[in-house]
Amino acid sequence: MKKIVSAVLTAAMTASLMAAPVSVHADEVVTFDVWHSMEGSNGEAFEAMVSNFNDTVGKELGIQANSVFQGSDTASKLKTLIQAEDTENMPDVCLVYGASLPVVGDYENTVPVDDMYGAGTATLAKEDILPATVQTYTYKGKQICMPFNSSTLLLYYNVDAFNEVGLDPENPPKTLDEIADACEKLTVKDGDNVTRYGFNAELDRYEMVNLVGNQGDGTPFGDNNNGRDGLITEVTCRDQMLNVFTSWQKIAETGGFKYNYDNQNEEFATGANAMTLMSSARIASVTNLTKDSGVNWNVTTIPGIDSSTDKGGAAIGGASLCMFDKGDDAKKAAAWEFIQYAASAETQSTWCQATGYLPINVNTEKLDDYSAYIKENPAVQTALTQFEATKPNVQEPVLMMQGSVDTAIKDAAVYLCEGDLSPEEATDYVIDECNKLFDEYNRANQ
Amino acid sequence: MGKPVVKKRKKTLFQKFEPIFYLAPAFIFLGIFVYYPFAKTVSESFFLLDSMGKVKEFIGLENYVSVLHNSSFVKAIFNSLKFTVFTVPFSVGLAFCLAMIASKKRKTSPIYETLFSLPMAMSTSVSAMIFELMFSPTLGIINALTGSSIKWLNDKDTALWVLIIIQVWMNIGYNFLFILSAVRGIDADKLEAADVEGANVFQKATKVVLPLVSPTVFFLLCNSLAKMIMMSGLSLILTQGGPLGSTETMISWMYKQASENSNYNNAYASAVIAFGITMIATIITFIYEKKGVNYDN
Amino acid sequence: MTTNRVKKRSKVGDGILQAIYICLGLTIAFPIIYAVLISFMEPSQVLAGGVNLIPKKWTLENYKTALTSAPLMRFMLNSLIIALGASVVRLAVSSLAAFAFAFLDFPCKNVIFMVMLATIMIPADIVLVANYRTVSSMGLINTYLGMMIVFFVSAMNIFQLRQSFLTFAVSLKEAAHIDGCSNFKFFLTILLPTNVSTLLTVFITAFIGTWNTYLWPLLVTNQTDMRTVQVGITMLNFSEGTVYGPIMAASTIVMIPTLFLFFTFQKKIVAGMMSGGVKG
Repeated sequence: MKKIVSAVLTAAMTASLMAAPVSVHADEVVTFDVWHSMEGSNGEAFEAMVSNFNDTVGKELGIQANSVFQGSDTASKLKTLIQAEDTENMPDVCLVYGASLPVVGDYENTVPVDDMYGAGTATLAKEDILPATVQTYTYKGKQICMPFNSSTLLLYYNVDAFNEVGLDPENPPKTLDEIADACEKLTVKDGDNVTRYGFNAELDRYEMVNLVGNQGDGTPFGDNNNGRDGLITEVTCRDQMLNVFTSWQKIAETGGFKYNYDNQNEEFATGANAMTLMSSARIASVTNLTKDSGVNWNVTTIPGIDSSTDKGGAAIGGASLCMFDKGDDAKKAAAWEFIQYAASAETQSTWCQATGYLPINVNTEKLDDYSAYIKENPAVQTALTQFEATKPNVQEPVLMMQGSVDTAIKDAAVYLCEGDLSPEEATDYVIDECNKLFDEYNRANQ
Repeated sequence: MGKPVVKKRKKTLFQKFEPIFYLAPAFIFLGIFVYYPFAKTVSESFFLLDSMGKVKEFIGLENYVSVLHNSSFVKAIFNSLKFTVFTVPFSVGLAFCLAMIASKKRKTSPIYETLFSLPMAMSTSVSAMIFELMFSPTLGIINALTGSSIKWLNDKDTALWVLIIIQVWMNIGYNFLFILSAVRGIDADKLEAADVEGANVFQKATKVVLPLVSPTVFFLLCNSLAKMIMMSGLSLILTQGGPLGSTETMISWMYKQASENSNYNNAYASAVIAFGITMIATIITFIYEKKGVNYDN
Repeated sequence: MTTNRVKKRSKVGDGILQAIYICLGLTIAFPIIYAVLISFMEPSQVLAGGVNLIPKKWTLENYKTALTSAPLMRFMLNSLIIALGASVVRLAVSSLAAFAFAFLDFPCKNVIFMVMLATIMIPADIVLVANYRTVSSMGLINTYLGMMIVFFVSAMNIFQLRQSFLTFAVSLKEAAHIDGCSNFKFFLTILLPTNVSTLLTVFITAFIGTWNTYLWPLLVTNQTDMRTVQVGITMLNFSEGTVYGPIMAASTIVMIPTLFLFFTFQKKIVAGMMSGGVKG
């Protein structure tokens, strides 16, 4: 018995010794941790950016970034550490999605980047950052995180299919009702079987926020500056949401509308669906896929309800870099240098060309290599135009219960498409569900 | 036990405490990593908790009342039960049939034994990905082979069934391996006796083999029962509980409350309820143990 | 004559039967075979849809991508260490406890057994944060011990071994006692050797379980060179598109150790829980 226990303990201890992290604190060089969630080729581009930093700015300043992939959602890991009050193992810099803004915004050791402008080498000014993206990561009056990889929602359409049915590919639909008309024309049926859908889209939280936000001069989803000044207490876009559902019903009634996603990129790229709503971050994927299929396609700005008055633009999607104070000023200074580097026009240019994201630094376009890249990729130009024209008040709402909000909107849209709910009922359903969720959450978090 | 053993008197104290030495390692680990955190969860489920899980005030059973009034959670309970009712019998039953088929050793036994048990080597995420591709309405091999245009995971009427099929597949290898090794352990004499009495294959399987391997089958039933009632992996990876909540399970709901909604009030209460339901199901199985499981083979 | 013919016929029948079983086996293993085939396909073929089983052009490109975009070999080593470590400790801990439940008498045995078994009904996700706090306060973040410590015990394995031990004849244990054999000696020299196949099954299931875990090892490590293979597979994923090829290639590579273990021990496992001789 004793033997076994001691054997087990010895084995365990050896294992732990074997694994004890070797601290590589060489003299003077300050190392700091950067966590990210970039997978696949984006992950490679991220690692390349970090090693470029280490070889250039990092080398000059004697600081070295150590980047670590932390799964597809860094925020859940951050949350665990924050809940366990484990400051020691927190990273110095972390890539977080917009949805997690309150997690870092309310955390005591977060250093708002707003407080850092002008510090260190001071190579980056707040004016360099696109105002709408600054607003995306502003919480309770301060810019918390530095936007890093951003994207925007676009309408992708099949140019060949447009030509085939006599639609003008130079003049793609600008409103949801025009999409309904185009969808009807683009749909190809073989008896009862649809062989080509006119339009493929899911109406989820993100799509709804965009379609609502675009209306008028920009419509927020909820009160308290969309949750950026305080907790959202109610949905404030009833009319706009009703507009979306009403037009969505028209689209559903065409019979050529596919309201769920299977393999969205592939189906669009092979011509199975003639139009679809997708993030600009997929331009590169679609470009690759259509090389094989030979399908000609283009993108246009997201649809409105009334194209003459709807000028809000699209809510900015993507992720940002935030930094934490772990009680070591040298690391804090190093973290800020890294963030300045990541947000610089030059880095953004390389990063965006490698990944298809949109540059958050307004000076990026002035760079020769990036403007050459845009000329070669007209779809990116469209995305960038929409991205830059977006009104700062068009934002995703800051919600800590966005999973359930997403489900409520998604379910209402499916019920609507299947004819179980009218547009009014769908709107009421979403608003009731959301307000219930807000009450429940706010009760515990006042 | 009753037989007198040499130096019995001297050993009494030791014998009294002896079981502790055997049980201590297991219970120390269970205590630290299961009982303590779960006890904390249970006690905190009676409090109002903020988005970081911090205790705010005592509210008694309010979290439980609120969870049980939540129609999406109630639906999730029924989905979990439906999922369990179909996966457990099928995965144990099919594995038993496969074990019967494979019970006799033949030249090619190692080949098909391996093929039958292979699914257990796959992780949930990889299995999910393969089946997602196979069930894809447009790219998938299943619709291509059958010529159907069923939406599978995107249809509220079929989605849970797809998850059941995947789960049965994932469980079958594990269950097969266990039952096969039990069947191989049966006394050849007993099987021969059945042959002499002229029992047919079905009778032999149910009347002779099943009682003899009942401890293993009982273990597998308890094991699958708890795992299936608390299934969340496939649902979270493949459908996120949709479409229209048709594949939401108790634990996927609980998980989403904690991770996506930062609502620990709902998460803790639903965890305790899920625990209670699994407990009841297991107790029912144990009642069956008294009646049907035979250890004195 | 007649017996000969019957024998011949049954031999032919047996051959057909074996062929049927292998076909059945191939059907059951189809998803895995399909995954392996995809790992050799070019992306355009995977996305062409339809019944497309055999790669039109066999390519190793996916394997190249898988091996270059994530340090899979290092991850394999990490997974191997934690899976082996956790399984060995679990085997020791579980068999000790199972022995007590099967052979020793102590007060409230059934209640204690149920309390032990109740742990399988506790949702693992709900104890995650508390366990992180415990492990981090023990200073085990970024260590192999921290990665495997929560897998050191499994009520299911104790249960499984108890079931196996219970079929062991009590009379044999008593006989051993009369020969002056202590409980521990009996456990070590008689009980364990006669239950090798169950122990192996426990070992393999524990190994596969730990090998396939994702969340816990990710949570308690912050260094790329401490990552496990399952994290490696997700690193190949790409949210803006579908990359079946490299992921299936990585999954195939990751399956190799489990399959190796499987082939090595499979014969012993299915040889029977216990050899007939020790049965009562």
